[in-house]
Amino acid sequence: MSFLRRIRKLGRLNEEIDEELRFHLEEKERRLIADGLSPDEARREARKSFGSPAAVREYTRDAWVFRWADDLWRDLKFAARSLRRSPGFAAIAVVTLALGIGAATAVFSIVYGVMLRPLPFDAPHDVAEVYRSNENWTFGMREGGTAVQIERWKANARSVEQVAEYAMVRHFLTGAADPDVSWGLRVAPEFFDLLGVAARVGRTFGKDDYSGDGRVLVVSDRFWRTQFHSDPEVVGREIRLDDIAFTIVGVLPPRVRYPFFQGQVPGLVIETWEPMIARGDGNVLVRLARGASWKRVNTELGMMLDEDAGTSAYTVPIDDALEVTRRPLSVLLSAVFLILLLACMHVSTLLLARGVSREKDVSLRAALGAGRLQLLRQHLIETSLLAGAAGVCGVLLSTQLIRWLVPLFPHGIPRSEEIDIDPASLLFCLSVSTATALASGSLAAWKSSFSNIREGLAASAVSMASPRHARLLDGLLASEIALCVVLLVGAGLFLQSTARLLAIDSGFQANGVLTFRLMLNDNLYGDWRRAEAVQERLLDRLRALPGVESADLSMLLPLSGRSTRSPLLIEGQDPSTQGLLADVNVITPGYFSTIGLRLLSGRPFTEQDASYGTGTVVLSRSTAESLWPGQDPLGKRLRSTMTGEDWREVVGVVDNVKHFQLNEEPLPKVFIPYAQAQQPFLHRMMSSLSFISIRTGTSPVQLAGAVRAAVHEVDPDQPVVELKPLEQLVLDSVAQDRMQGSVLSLLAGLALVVAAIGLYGVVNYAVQQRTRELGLRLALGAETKQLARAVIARSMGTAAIGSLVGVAAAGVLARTLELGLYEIHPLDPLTYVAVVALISTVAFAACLVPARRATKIEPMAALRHD
Amino acid sequence: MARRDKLQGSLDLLILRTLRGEPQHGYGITSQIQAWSDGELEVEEGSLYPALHRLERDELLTAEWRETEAGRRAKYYKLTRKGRKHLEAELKRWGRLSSAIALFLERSDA
Repeated sequence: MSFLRRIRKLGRLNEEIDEELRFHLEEKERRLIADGLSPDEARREARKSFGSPAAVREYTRDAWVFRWADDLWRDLKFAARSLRRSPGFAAIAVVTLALGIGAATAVFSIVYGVMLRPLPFDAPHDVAEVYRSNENWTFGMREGGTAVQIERWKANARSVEQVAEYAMVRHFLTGAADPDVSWGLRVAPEFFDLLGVAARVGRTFGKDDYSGDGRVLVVSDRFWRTQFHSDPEVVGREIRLDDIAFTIVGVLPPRVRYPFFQGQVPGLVIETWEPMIARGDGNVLVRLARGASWKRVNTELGMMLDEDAGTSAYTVPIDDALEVTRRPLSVLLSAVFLILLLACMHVSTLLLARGVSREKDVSLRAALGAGRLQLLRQHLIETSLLAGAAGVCGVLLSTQLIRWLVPLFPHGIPRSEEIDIDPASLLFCLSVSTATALASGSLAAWKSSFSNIREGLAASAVSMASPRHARLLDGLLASEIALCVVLLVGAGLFLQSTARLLAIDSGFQANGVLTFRLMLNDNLYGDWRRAEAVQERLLDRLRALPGVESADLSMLLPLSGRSTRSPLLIEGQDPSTQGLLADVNVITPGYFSTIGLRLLSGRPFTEQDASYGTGTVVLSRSTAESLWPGQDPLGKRLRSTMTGEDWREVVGVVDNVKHFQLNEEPLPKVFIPYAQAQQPFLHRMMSSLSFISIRTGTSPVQLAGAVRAAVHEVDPDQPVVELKPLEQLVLDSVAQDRMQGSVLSLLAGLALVVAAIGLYGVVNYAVQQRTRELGLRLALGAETKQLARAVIARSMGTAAIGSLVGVAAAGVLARTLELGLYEIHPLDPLTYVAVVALISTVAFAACLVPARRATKIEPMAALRHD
Repeated sequence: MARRDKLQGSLDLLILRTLRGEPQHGYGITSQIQAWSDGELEVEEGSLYPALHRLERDELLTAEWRETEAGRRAKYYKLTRKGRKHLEAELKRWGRLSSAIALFLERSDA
């Protein structure tokens, strides 16, 4: 029927159907009256058997309105009914699918949020940071540009379209309930324009903002939400940073911030931007001119440097920062792929196992005129229903999983602070659910479309699965087990790598120590005497807390990610030669015992070091060994060029301490007593870089509240930053391994459960199917034990094949993927053996119950079994 | 014929077979099926009319409004060529199937 005719038909359809039905009713009444009923009775009788005319009209009309919707609705109802008839199957399928989809969606959201989501800037590939470096500069240092260079680049560089400098600035949020430190950027006028960023509320900076005092602020979406409770009228409101009032002029869109990544520094997220009034040195952003190349930019900017020979300029495109995430996330992505595969296979297994018992049903439908296509559609609709329900549960589950997974992340993962379920994740979830439904549904349908009607109906007499069917099921089960092995091996390797990392002697005793970072407000404590006074008051107050054994101040803390590397000069060394690079740590006397650092020789610092005639220093073992190999370092003298002071006498040697990560070679370290650091330079450094460590006999976590309160007693506006147990710093340093281990363990556990359910279901089903055969064998004198053994042997055979394939696949994957494992070989035999043992145990347990059922078969009942 | 969906295939067959002769309106079709099956098969209106309209949509039937003998306007359904072909095929299929079932029942009783 042509489209136009159908439309015309639809126009008068309701009246037509009504008339048709009215005629029907009247005819029926006439007949009933002719049969001897009174007109009233006839009317009632006719209506009664007719049902609701409105419903009949709707159904009839539907035939015209939605041909597809009509069929779909019928199929949906049928599918829902058939699922209701086997609630166990439906529940298992939905739960396992939901777990799979949920895990996949969560991990995808993370991978997307960190790695795949485009940077929220105009043509981000064309934006880069510019650095200067010089081969003579120590330890690969790199710098931004000087004010003069930046001006020159802005005026003359042809290969770049725009240049914008910026500098990081630390602010103290004062007057807040919980004083905090917030990080911001001072930016040049070109900054937002270069990035192509516009405010979502208010505006970014204009010319006028640069002619005033610069007390205006653009804030991040997160800052707007936390500090201003998403006030839509925020523009014009004031906020006090470092006791200075700033006026808000704009809010950036969600997730838009630059820089989006601050290396390994924890908690450092840029939240505010303000005009850079006084131009000076700074980091430099450039946008590539049309048609230019980065190579040309490097050459051109380098030529304008006008600096010492050997200094050159180079650019780092801003999306390079996302590179660091590639390795850990690619492991996760592979795992997600495996999990999805597993979920599909699992549902196929269940469908197939159930499909056999439904063969009669299907054949009957086929007999009653259902075409092959209709049967396929029926299967697909059934799996879509399952996948749809699982998808909804999966999304809910994934929001929980994300909340659990993200804190496990290493600090070095960019953009991890705002990972969430977003439209891309939902789209992913939808496509995954659809793909699952299609994949598992078509396999089952493909299988059942082969079933011959006669064979299917006759199957009720014989009640046995075809061998081809059984082979397919076994194959699926074996693949599930193989996948399981791969995931378990991955999880095992990462967990062991983590454990081995944590087993490394860090050189200190982390348990029982609480630490926090002390950042002093320069406006209040700019004078070093005042800074020292408040530091001492704080330490005294903390030491007086119940449960506190000692509290000490240090410039650096092991595994905190900070470094003060600078050259050492020993007495008698030629000053023009390069000295040994060492981290200089300024500490109060009790520091060694507070963090449990072992003294190897000499003495630790004491209160007397302040009045000691000459400066004193304590070395780490490796420093002593490289400065004076084979000699006693005590009494020798050296000085640090960072502090640029007089000679210091070595009074002690302590053990090596891990500084950046647990598996590093020992890095040189020297310790200087705090009491001898009374000079402006060191104090300026310590106002931004110093830690307080507190050793307690009780749990450090429980002490946190009291520590915070004690600090606020001394100064209510003093932020307590990065308050955490020292053990947490150790754990954070292995976060990448830990994260991979945890995620893979989660997925592997899931896979194990799924495989066990599949195995149980299939074996259980096989026993049911073979009831008659098993009963016959019992009647013929077979022992029950033999039967159970036969049932178990078959499943264990499948498990064995699956394990073998899995071990091989895991071996290949572990060798090809760069896993970054520590001290564990990707082919570590123990891991593989343990995994296979675990799988075998689970497989055995899964078929134990059905096997027991086989032994309980009553021979006579079984022979009558249909 | 309570189960509209499940036995739809067979309802279609009954309708088509009824219309192999004269064109007939909906009420006439139900009466015919009832009469030919000695009252065993009773077609509910809620199943009949959706089926009729579906068959019309699929162009197995055409319909026209005509006067009945009593002078009332009614919608008469008639087999199309496509419908007639479909009916022959379905009849063959049904014959095969029912004899297979009969054979099966006979042998399994033995």
